[in-house]
Amino acid sequence: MKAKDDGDSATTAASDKKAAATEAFEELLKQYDTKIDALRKARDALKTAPPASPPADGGSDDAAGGVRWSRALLTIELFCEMIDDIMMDVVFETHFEAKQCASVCAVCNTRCQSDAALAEAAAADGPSSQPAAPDLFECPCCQRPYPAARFASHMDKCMGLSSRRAATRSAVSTPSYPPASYESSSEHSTDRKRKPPLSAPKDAAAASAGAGASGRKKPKRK
Amino acid sequence: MSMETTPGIREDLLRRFIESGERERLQEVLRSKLQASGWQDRIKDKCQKFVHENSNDLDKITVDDMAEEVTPFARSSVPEDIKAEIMEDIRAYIFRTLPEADV
Repeated sequence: MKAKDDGDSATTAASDKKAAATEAFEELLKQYDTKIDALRKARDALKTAPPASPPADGGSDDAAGGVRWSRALLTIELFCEMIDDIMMDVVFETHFEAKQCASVCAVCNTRCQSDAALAEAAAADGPSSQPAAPDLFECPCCQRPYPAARFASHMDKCMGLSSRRAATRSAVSTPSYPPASYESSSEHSTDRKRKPPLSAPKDAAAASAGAGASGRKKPKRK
Repeated sequence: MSMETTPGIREDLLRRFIESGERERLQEVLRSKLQASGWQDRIKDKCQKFVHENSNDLDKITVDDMAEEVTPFARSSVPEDIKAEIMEDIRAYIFRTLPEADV
């Protein structure tokens, strides 16, 4: 008897729970149905009276175009202009990167090695292609291949063509600038600290002594 | 809101919108929000897809072609919350500048 009572109470509790859950779902269902009805009404209203949109060409001539410029239309037009401005920044940047990737540099006669250009090329070719190998140039002095980006700095060291090195050497050998006793030479034309010609070392020494006495010593360039 | 405006007032409003600096301020707000939402990255992807589709005629691709292709997508893909916020600011400015008595 007692077991039967326990069974009955358990059944009642289960049915109560089920009823409560059902009620919650029914409430949720009602809310969604209301929302769907509202959206259907809005769709039907838009079908019967579509909203005016700003003219595609800007519509500056309102009288001829017959556009009724309401505040809502003005808002939409101003917003679209702002969006177009921001979009065009991205379009210009992408267009520039695409053209840069395809073009050949007029200075070094190689394709652009910038990160953006390389990424563009890799993306354009797809995942199956290998990464673009940089063009290698052989040094005429040591016959080693170097990529274009490092070729100039290697040539500086290998062949001693750096003007800075020439300036440093001349600064060490000649502390002051000889006034006018130098031979015109294209090699020394760009140097401020000029190395005196080998044929006239005495003249240079005398000139430097004179320059030092007269106080015309120029500061060393670093 | 559906009040008709005369042609001169529209141009005057646009000019005042730029000269007051409100356009620039709202544009910066809009730009930062779009950047944070990833909209600019999506536009860039769209542009790059256009370039890849026309990779055979890369020399003939113009900025106008790319803009024509991307503009509808750009306008429709702006997140709704950002659009609502900025349009509300613009609408508030228009109401301040064009009160009903002036129309």
